[in-house]
Amino acid sequence: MQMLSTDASPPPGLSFGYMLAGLAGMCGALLLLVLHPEALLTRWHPAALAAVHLFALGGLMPVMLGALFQFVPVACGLSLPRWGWIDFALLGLLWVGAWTLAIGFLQVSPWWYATAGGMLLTSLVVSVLRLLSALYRQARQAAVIGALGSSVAALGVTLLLAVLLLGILLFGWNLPLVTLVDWHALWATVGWVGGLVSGVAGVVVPMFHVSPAYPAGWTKGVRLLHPLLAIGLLAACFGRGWLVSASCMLLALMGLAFGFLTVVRVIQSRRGEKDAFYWGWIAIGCLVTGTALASVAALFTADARWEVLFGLLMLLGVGGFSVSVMLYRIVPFLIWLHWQRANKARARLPLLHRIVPEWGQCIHLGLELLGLGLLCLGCFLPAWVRAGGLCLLAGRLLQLVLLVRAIRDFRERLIVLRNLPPRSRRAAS
Amino acid sequence: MIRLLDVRGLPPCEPLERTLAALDELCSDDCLEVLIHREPHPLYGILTERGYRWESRAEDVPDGTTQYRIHISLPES
Repeated sequence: MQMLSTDASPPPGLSFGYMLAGLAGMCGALLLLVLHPEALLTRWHPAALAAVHLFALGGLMPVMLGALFQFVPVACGLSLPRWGWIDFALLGLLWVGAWTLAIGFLQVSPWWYATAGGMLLTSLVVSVLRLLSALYRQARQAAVIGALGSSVAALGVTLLLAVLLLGILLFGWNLPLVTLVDWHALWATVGWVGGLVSGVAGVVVPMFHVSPAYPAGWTKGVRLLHPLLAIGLLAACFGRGWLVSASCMLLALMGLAFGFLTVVRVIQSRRGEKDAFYWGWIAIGCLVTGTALASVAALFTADARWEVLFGLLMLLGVGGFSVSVMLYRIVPFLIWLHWQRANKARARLPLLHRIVPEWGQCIHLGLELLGLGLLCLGCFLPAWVRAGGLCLLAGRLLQLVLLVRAIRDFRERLIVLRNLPPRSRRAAS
Repeated sequence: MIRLLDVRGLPPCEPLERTLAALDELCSDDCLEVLIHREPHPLYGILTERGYRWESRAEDVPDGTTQYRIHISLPES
């Protein structure tokens, strides 16, 4: 049996660093939206492009990588090697690169694009190869390992399409810009974010809610996610519009199925508690369903506002809100686990669900859902965009404060635990 | 003496909490057998770090799921 040693994985401080940097990146993107509420009028608005990329690359990406470094090893037995200072350097390149790219979009400047491209591609290509190498070296190929591997590969495709787009912007390559932008966005949101959320949900929802596993049919069917995206991309490249629509419809149906199955599984929870985590996952299921419906509307109407709504729901809803809910499990779990490992004195530790107060989680998640609702309205009634952005920003700042306090408490208690003498065992009765 | 601890169906991290608490209560000639519904990767790491001798075995359950039986002995003094 494969031995898991969390000592072989990157240290918790690294994961926390990635997660907090991600939250700060998200706050930056939301601030952009507050300052430029006209950004939602069209997906081609410079502020929209800047905010989207900052949220995705400076926000979601560091958080997801931070979770993969520590959480996945303990959930799946996967072990990632420590790379010391290189891990921090990769975070620096990623985060600064995301901000540089945002500036590039705002300034429409080739120099900023080129600099950002260099930093982001270095960081992400290294991260993708490292993760793929670790995932495919696993002796036991659990379904979740396969799902994670596919999602990471989807990130690789996203990067490849980004390189082509940089080629157009910097060197004037003769390639179909709009098609490449569309599929770059779809591979990033549906392939990477959607694949990761659905893959992780397959483990996390039954585990944390103590509910039945997703049906075997779903676990097999969801493997079609990335092949369908590949078919859609190829069809778009060869001008087969009917095939593009067919693959997008199937993807939308998968989204509807996942949303429905997730809500049902959460309702079937035997945990007995209807706390922020419970309602958070109900909301995730509903957001996935709403996103799928928005994608159908975007497919069949000529109204570009449905495309904006789809992108907003996919990135901030499915991606951002899932991250919000899961951080309130991942961070306390890592804190508690590392306290336990240091607790040779067997001192009394705070309960897991007390590490981040429930009231704080409820206020943050409530603000975030309110903000999302206002932004959705803002796609059609622009006057609501600023209010939505402010709600989301306030919620995200609150989450940052709550997690910083939890991490500070973690460090203080860890020092105490390490200095306590080990407890001796009582003799045979 | 072998003490049995059944933590199947409990949400994270109750199985780990209860197992560590049960290990604290073991006397020097006792063993603990833990029955759990999913493979407890974090527990394996802690057991190894603390010098426990342990063995984990997957068992098929009639409802089609898998449970794990982990036999734990105290560190050799």
